[in-house]
Amino acid sequence: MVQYILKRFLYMIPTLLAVSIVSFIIINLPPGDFVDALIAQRRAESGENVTPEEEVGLRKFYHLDQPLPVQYVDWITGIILEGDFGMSLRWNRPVDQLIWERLAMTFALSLSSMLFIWVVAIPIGVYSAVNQYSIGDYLATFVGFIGLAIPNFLLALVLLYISFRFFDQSVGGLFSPEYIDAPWSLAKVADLFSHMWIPMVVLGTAGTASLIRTLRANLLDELRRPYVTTARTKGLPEYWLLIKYPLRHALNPFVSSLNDIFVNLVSGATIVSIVLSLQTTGPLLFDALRNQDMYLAGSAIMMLSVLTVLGTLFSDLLLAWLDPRIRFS
Amino acid sequence: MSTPVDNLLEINNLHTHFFTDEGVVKAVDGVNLAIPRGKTLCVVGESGCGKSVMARSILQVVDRPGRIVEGDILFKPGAGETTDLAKLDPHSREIRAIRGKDITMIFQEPMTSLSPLYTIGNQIIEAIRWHMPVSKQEARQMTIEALRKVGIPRPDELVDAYTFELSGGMRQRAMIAMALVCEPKLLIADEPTTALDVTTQANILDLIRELQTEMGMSVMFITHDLGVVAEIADEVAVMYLGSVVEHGTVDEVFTEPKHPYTRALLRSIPKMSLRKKARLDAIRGIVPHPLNRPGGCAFHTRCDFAQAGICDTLVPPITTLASGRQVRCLIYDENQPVSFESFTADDDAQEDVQERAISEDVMLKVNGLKMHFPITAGFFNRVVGHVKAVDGVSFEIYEGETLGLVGESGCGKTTLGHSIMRLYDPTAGDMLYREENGATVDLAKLNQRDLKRYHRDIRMVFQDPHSSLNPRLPVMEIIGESLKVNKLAQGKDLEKQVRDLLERVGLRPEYIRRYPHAFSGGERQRIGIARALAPNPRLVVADEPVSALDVSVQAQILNLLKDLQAEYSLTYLFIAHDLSVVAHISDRVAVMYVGKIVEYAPTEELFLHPQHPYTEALLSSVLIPDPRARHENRIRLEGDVADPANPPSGCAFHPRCRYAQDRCMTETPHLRETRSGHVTACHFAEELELAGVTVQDEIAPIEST
Amino acid sequence: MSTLQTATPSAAALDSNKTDESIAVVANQWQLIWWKFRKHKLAMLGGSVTFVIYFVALFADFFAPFPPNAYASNYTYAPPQQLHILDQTEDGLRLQPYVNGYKVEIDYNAGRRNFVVDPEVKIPVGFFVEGEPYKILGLIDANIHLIGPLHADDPMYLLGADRLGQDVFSRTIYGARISMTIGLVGVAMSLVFGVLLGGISGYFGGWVDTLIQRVIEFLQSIPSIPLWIGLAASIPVDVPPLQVYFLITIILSVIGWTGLARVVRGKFYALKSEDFVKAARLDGCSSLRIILRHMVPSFLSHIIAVVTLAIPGMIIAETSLSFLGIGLRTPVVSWGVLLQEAQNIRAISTAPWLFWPGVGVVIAVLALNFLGDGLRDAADPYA
Repeated sequence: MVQYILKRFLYMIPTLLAVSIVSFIIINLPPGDFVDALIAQRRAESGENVTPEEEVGLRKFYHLDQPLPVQYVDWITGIILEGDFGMSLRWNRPVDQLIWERLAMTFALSLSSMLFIWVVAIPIGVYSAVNQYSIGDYLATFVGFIGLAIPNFLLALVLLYISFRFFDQSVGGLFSPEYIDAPWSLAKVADLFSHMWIPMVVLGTAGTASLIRTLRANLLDELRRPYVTTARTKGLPEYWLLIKYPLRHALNPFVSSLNDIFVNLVSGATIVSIVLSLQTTGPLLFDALRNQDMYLAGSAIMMLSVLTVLGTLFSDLLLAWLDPRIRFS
Repeated sequence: MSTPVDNLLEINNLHTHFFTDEGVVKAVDGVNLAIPRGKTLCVVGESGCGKSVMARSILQVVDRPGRIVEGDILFKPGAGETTDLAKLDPHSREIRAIRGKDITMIFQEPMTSLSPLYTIGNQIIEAIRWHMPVSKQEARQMTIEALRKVGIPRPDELVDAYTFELSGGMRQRAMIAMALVCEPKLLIADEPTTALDVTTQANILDLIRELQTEMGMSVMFITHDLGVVAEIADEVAVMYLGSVVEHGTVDEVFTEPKHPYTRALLRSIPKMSLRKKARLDAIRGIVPHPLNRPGGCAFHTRCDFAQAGICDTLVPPITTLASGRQVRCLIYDENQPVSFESFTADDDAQEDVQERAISEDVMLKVNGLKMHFPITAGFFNRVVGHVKAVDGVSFEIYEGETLGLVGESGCGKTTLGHSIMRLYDPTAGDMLYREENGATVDLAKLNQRDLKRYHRDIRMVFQDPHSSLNPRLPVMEIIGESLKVNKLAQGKDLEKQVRDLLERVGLRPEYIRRYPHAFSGGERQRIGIARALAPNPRLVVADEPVSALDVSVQAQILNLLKDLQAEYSLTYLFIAHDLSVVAHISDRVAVMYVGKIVEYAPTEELFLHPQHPYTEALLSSVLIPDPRARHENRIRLEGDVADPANPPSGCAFHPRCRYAQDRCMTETPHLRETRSGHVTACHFAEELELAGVTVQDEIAPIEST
Repeated sequence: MSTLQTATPSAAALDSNKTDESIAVVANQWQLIWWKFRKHKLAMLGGSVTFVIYFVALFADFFAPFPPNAYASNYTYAPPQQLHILDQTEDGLRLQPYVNGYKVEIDYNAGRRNFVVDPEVKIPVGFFVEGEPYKILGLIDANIHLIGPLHADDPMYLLGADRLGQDVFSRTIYGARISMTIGLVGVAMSLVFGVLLGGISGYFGGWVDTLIQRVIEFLQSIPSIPLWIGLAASIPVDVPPLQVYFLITIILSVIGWTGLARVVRGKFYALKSEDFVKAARLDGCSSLRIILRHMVPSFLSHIIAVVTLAIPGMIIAETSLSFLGIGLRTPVVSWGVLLQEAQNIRAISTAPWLFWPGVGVVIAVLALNFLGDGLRDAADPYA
C-alpha cells in the first residue's frame, strides 16, 4: 500500500510539470507580452508614454528579453521555491495574494457540490436499480436526463430570475454584504453556507444526474452477478446483502469516476461563479483573461489544474483503499 | 424405491417459469424428485435442461424474471417436521433461516461466486453469524477450523486472504468451507468442478465425498459429466428439457439405462478404451430452446425409437418399473406400441472407420521452440520478467497422423498451438515444415508476407465457436475469406466452393447467407471447421475444438473431424485437456507441463505404460463413466500448476511429484527415449513403476427390454 | 414467429432445427441494431426531434419569419404575441390567423416605455407568405416563409423581441444552425483525432500506446472550461466570424478527442484478442483489411453512439463560451450568443422570453442524449 501511494505521488510529477507548461503556453499565447499590456495600461490610465529605452528596461526587469524556455524556468522556479507567481497587472499585487483565498473558495464549493451529489445520487440510484421499471425509476431517469440537459449557467440564470422575480432577492455572491470584508468568524462561515447551497445545487445537478444513471447501470449489472446469489443462499436479508455486495461493487467504478466528476465540478464552478458572481477563481480568471493579465490567468489555470490533479490522486487512493485488487496488483 | 425411503427433500411436480418478453420459458416443467437422507443424488443432463434452475428453485434464489409457478418442495429436516419451501416468500425470515444453515449451495465458478472485495474469512464468518449466536472470535475460530477441514493449508493465515490470491481449486475449497461451516443437512452443488482441471476436480470430489460421510449430510450434485456421476452418485436423475426422464441408483442407471436419452448420452461419450478407434454414437441435433419445446415427449425429435403419431403427441407419464426405478418414456407404457425394436439402425455400420495411412514422413518438426512473454510494470512499462509459456518444446508430427497435446490449464498448450500458427513470433527455436513437394521451410523464420502461402497449408480450428466467428459477417464471407484473400476463387466459383464446404461439414448449403447468430454452438464449430478446410490444408491445428460443447454435440464434432481426416488425408495437432477425448482421436499423445513436453508416445503406449509421474497422475484423475470403476486410491496431485513466470528449479513438476528426490530439484530432466517409441523427461522413468489405465470393456451393451 | 419484433436474435426464434429462411437468420448487424433500437421508445422520440431540429436549421430561412439581424428599435423588448388561428368576427368564426398588436405604456417609476399586447389591434398573418428573399441552401432564390405578417411592416414577435427589437423566434431558429453544427463539426474533428490516435494506440500498443495514454490522462485531468476560456480568450478580437467558428471547434476538440480515443483504443484492444480477428490473420488478410473489414464494423456502431453522446457536450460548451462573450460574437447568431442578452438580471426580469434560446439548447441536448442512449444500447445486437 505504501508503495502504491508512493507510486501515485511519483506519477503526479510529470502531470504537474505538463500542467505548468500548458499554463505557461496560455500565458504567452495572445499577441503581445506583459510589458505591452503594461504600457497600454499606463497609456490608457495616465496618458503617459513609454520610451523605447524604458520599454527595453522594463523587459529586462521582468526577464522578458530572455528566450521563452528560460522565462518558463524562471517562472516555475519562482513558484516552487518562493511561492512567487508573478505580478497581477490589473490588481497591481502579487498573484499569490489574490489567488489562495479564491482557490480555497473554489475548493470548498467543488467539495460541497461533490457531497451534495453523493448524498442525493446514491439513494436515488439504488432505488432506481432495485425497483427497475417502477414509476420512481422512470421519474428518476427523466429528471436525471433533464438535469443533464440544462447547462450550468442556464440553471443559474433561471434560479437568479426566479428568486429575483418571485422572492425579490438577489442570490448572487457567497456572502451577505455585511460579511464580505469582515474577518473570518463562525458567523461568516454560517453565512457562507447559507449562500453556498444555490451554487451547490446548480453545480451539482448535472453531476447528480449522470451519477444516478451510472450507479443504476452498474448496480443492475452487479445484481445479476453470481456472488449475489451466493450471498442469498447464505440466508442474508435482502437489504444487508444489497449494501454489502452489489452496492459496494457498484461503487468502484463510481469512485474511479469521482475524479472526472471533480474535474467537471472545478471546471463548471468557473462559469457558475461568473454568473452568480461568487468570489472563486472563476471570475478572477475570466477578468484576467479579458484584461490580458497573463500571470494571474496562467497561475489561475495552473492552480485549478493542480487542484484536479490532487483530486485524481485522492480518488485513486480511495479506490485502492476500497478495492483490494488494486492494492495487491 | 419400492421400500419406503427416508427422504430429506421431496420435489413434487415443480414448475419454474421465466416470464420474458419473448414468451414464457418453462425452464423447469414438472420435476418430481426425492433426495434420500445421507445420500448423494446426481442430476445429470446437457446444458439448457433446467438442472440449475431446479436447484435454485429449492432455495428460491431463481433470478428475475423466473419464479415457481406450481409444485411443492417438501423439506423434512427431522422426524415429523415438514416445510414446503415452494410456498415460502423468497424474502421471508423462514426461508432465510434455512438458507445457509440447513441447505447450502456451491457453484461452478468460485471466482465469481465469491466477492473479491472481502476476505474469504469475512464471507464465511458472516454466514456463521447470521445463523448462530456466536461471537466474532468464535466464528473466526470456526472458520479457521472449516478451512482446515477442507484442506486449505495455513488456514489461520489464509482466512484473511482475498479470492484472487487463491487458485481455482483453493477457492472452491473455501466455497465448500463456507457451505459446510453451519453443518447443513443438504448441500446443493451446482457443477462445482466443471471449471477446474481434472486433477483438481478429482481432489474436490474426494473432499465432498469424505465430508459427506463424515457429516452425514445429503448432497444434490448437478453435473453434465457422466464420469463425475459415476464417481460420486448414489442415485441418478437424468433431466431433459425441464423434467426428470429417468431416476434410479447409479449402478442401475449405468448398467441398465432405461430411457433412450440416458442410453444415448452414455453411448456418446468417448471412453478410455484403446481397442478401436470407432466413431462415437452421437445424439443427433441439439437440445431445443425451452421456448420451442417439442410437443409430446420432449425428446422425440432426437430419439432413435420415436414413433410418429405417438411420441410427438402423447406426454409420457412417469412409469415406475418393477425394480422401483422411474422412467418417463412411452416404451414402458404397455398401452403404446413403441419399443426399442422399432429402430433398425445397423450398429456395425457405425464402427466403420476408414483405415488411415500414417506416413513415415515428418510433416512438421518443432525444435527447441520457446515463446516468452515480457511482464511489464511501472510508468514506462519496463520489462521486469518473462512468462515462459512455451519453454523449449521439440516434437514432430507425421503426415496423416493425429498428435494429441494434453495438459492442465496454464501449461502452455494453447500458446504452443498459436506459436505454430505464428500468431506469435516465437522467441527461439525452429519449426521445419515439409511441403508437399518435399521442400522444407523453417516457419519460425519467415516474415508475415512469406508466411501467407503456408497459412493455406496449415489451418486452425479455435476453441470458442462464439468468439471465433465474426458475428457481423455472413457464413459465405467467413468461410470464403481465405479463398478470396489468396485469390483462390472468385464470384460464382467462390460461392460454389463455400456451398460444397458447408455440405462437407454437414450443414445445408442454403445457409450460406446466414449470419453466425443463426447457428447453435455445434453448428458454429462446423462453420469454423469449414473455414479451416477452405484452402485445402494439409495440417490442422485444433485448439480444444470440442471443450465448449455439450457431450452429444461433442461426439458429433469428433466424428466429423475423424471423417474429414480420412476423406482428405489431413494431419491434426489436437490440443485438449480432456484425456478421454484425446485417447479417442489421437494416434500419439504429448503431455505438456509448464511450457515443456514431459512425455510423448503412441496413444496406447502412453495410456497403458506412462513413464512420467505427471502423466500417471493425470490418467489417475480421469473419471470413467462406470460406477464399477471408482478409483479407491486415486493419486492426489496437490498444489497447482507452477507459475510459468517463475518455474521451480530442476524438474518443474518436482513440488507436486510424489517420487521427487533431491536430484529433481536441481537438475532439469531432458526428453529421452525410455521405452521403444516413448520419450519421457524424468530422471527416474526407468526405475518407477507407474500405473496406467486399466482398459475398460465397453459398458455393458444395451439389451433390448 | 415473433422474430421480426424481437430485437436480439434469440436462440428460440432461430432454432436451427427449423429450415425456413426467416428474415432474422440473414439479418446483418445494421438490421439487428435497427430492430433493437426501434424498441427503445424514448430513443425513437429523441431521434425524431433531432432530425426535426437539424431539418429546421437547414431550412432556417424558410422557417424563420425574419432575417436574423433585422431589427426594429421601436419595438424594444416587445413581449410575445399569441398566435390566433381563428378570427371571431361579426359573421362568426373565420379562418384568418392573426396576432395582436402592441400599445405603449409608460412606466413612470422606472422611467421607460413598455410594450404591452393590445387585444384591440389585430395583425393578420399568414402561412407561406412572401417575405425577405433568401436562397434555399444558398442556391435557389426564394422568398416564401412558413409564417409571417401579411403586411411586411406589421410587427410579429411570436416569442417576443430583444433589446434591439429583433425577433427572438427567428433568431432562435437561426441560432440552431450554428449551435447544432458546431456540435457536429466539433465532434467530427474530435473523431478524426480520436480514431486516429486511439487506433494507433490500440493497434500498435507498446510505447506509442503508453505515450498517447499519458497524454490523454493528462488532458483529462485539466479542468476543461478554464482551459477553453484560456484558449478562447487568446483569439484576437479582429478575427473574422467564420474563423472564430472553426477556432472554437478546434478548442472544443482539444479535450473532446480524448474520450473518443479511449473508446476506440478499448475496442481495438478487446477485438485484437478476439479469435475471429486471429482467424482473419490466418486467412491471409493484410493489416488494413483486418482493420477495415473485420474490426471497424464491430465498433462502428459503438462509435456512432459515443459520437452522438458527445454532441450535446459540445453544444453546451459552445453555448457557455459564447454566453461568456469569449466564444462566438455578434453578428453571428448562435444560442449562446443569444443568451448573452440574458446575462444581466435586469434584462431577464423585464424580458424573460430571452430564455427561449435556452429552451432550444435544452431540447436539443435532451433529444441527442435520448438518441445516443438508445444507440448505445442497440450498438451491440449480439450481446
